[in-house]
Amino acid sequence: MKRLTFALLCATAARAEEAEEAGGPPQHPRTRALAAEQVLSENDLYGGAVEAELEAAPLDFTVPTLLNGVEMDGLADFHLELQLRYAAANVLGGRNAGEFVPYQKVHVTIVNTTTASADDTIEMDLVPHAGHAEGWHYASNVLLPPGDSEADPFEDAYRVTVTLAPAMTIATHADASPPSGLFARVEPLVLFDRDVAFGGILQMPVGDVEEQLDRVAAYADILAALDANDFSGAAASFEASLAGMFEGRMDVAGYDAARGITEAQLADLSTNVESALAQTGPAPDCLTGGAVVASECKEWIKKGIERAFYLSILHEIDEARRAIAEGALDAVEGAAHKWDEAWAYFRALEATAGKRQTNCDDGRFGAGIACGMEAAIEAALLSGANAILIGGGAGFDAARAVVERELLQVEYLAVVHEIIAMREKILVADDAGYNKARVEARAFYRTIAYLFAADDDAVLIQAFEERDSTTFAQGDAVTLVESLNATMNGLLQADELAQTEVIP
Amino acid sequence: MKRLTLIPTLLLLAACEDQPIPTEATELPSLEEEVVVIDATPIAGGAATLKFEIASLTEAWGIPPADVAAGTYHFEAQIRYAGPLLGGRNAGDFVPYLDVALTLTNVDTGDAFEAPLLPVVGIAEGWHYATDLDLGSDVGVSRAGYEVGLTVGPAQGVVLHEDLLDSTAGTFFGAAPIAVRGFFTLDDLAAPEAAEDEAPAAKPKPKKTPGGGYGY
Repeated sequence: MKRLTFALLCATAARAEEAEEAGGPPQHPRTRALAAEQVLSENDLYGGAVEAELEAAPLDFTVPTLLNGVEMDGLADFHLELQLRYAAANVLGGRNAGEFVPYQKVHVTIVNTTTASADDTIEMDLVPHAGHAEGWHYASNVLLPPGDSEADPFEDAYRVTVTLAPAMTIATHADASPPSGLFARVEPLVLFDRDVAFGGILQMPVGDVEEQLDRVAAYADILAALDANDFSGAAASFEASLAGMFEGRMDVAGYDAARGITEAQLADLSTNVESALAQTGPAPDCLTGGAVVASECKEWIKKGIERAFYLSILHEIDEARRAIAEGALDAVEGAAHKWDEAWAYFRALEATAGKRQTNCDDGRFGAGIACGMEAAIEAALLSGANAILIGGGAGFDAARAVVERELLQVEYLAVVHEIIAMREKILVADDAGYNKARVEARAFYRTIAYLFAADDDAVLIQAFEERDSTTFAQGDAVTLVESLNATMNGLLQADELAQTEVIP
Repeated sequence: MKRLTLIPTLLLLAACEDQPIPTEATELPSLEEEVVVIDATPIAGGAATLKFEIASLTEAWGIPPADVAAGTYHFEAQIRYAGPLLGGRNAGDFVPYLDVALTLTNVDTGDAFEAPLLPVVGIAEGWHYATDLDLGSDVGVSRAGYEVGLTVGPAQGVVLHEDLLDSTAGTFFGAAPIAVRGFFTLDDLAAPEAAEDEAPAAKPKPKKTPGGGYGY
């Protein structure tokens, strides 16, 4: 039912007059700009011959200006459009991939499920639109129900159903018979039937992640304590706030089996940090020859805790995937919450991501390297949250892949940087500096070691545990980077990998 | 199917005062081949092309030739984008939602018959505008031939975005319909190859695409 009350008409007309007097375009009193086009769904139809993309887009002025009871300019909430295009040339009447599929009836029902009022339902057809930028598409501006000026439509949830059927029975040549569902009236195809939060997610978290942010705050407390050389204070914070998280991350059942993470690979997760907090290891670092090397202990504590946050992100990504598969998308316990948790845990790593971006320089890496890891992860987290709103799908998979890939790049850049630093320190006879770089390389490597084959892993571990700087030659550094690259080639692109010729 | 280009393909309105050439044919022939009356000619300021053809009902609908009434033909207009303009994405994309009207004028009698061309789809022909007409009963046999008039205008119910509004004049989104004219005779329908040979500037035959359509 179309809801455009007299009161609303009066309000919008008054607002329009005010806006025109002010020199700007008329705008509905409650309208706010969408951050960007919000893709609601992407479908392959008719055996992959047709691609459909449903999206909510910012308003645009159109002619005629009144359609479906809604002004087609600023006096609505957004522009709902369906791009319906052939996926390939010479199929079902199309000549080209990307060509518009015409003469379809696109029917939309939008129910406000927050108010749960039978009155707060609208139905409309999306009608053919043409524009330079968008090409042909089916669309209508939408004023979400209830259409009063007091409500904020972007606070409510809506059930949106979109069906597709031929607008009329199309005469089909003999070579197109029996006619496709694109041409002959059949039961409408349900293109979309999901809950939608229009406007999308503009910032994270979506729900409550106080518990996870408390853990991030505990890590900050530990760092502050370490800066003050207060190892006992750091240990107390760890035990009070993070020990439980570490225990959870050591359970291989918390990860997708496809990751291949084993109990053996996780066995040192807690002990590395606990022994460093106690200034006893891990051997041969932190405590060596009966002397505590505080700087090495600190590196193991920092990198060891960040390893746990890294694994926590992988764990929450996998949990989100499982929840999506089960259809549990909510932000309380479902996929949106799991993704929120991943977002929260990244707070513990964002400083490292930002810092390690500066290691992405000096021609050390291939021409394909992109160094904006922190921003890429943030954008992917937001994109993934919006993808979960519409059920996950390809959008979620793409976002997940970016997060994992960029996190991996952070650790990879760090290990390569520290290997080069090891050689640089040797060249200036800085043995302590060599060992600090070596410990950092070793500790960073522990985070991604689960990805490595046994032979490469053995080469790396042996080198990283060698405190004697006199034995680490340029060729050894090259061998280490090559061992890293052997595994990274495939996880990253070949033209992103470190160039061994720059190793001093 | 072999396609032919018959005559100089476009006669503008202003040029239509030329007297058609009388022919000997007085019977409505069966079509064995699709006949191109107006080859792909630019319209809408070059944003699109219009091609007008006459095909048999056998080709269009698969009706056995023996069941096709003499003089009944499938008249079709291919209106396709010439490039990524005015809502089109690629050269060759169909221009949808147009009001296309066909007027056939019997040159012998001066009688005119008007019919809308409606959306039709085929795998080989793609989307196009077409109708079936019985030339004999609807328009009448004409020894002197038939004038073809096509008007193209926007259909009702199409909404235009702001970025298109300054580009509509002279196009199928403009206020004035686009008019295109052509001409054919019964000889053209009966013996298209002969007519093709006589055509002063016949264009090369279009190549078929792998899907059976024509590559624009």
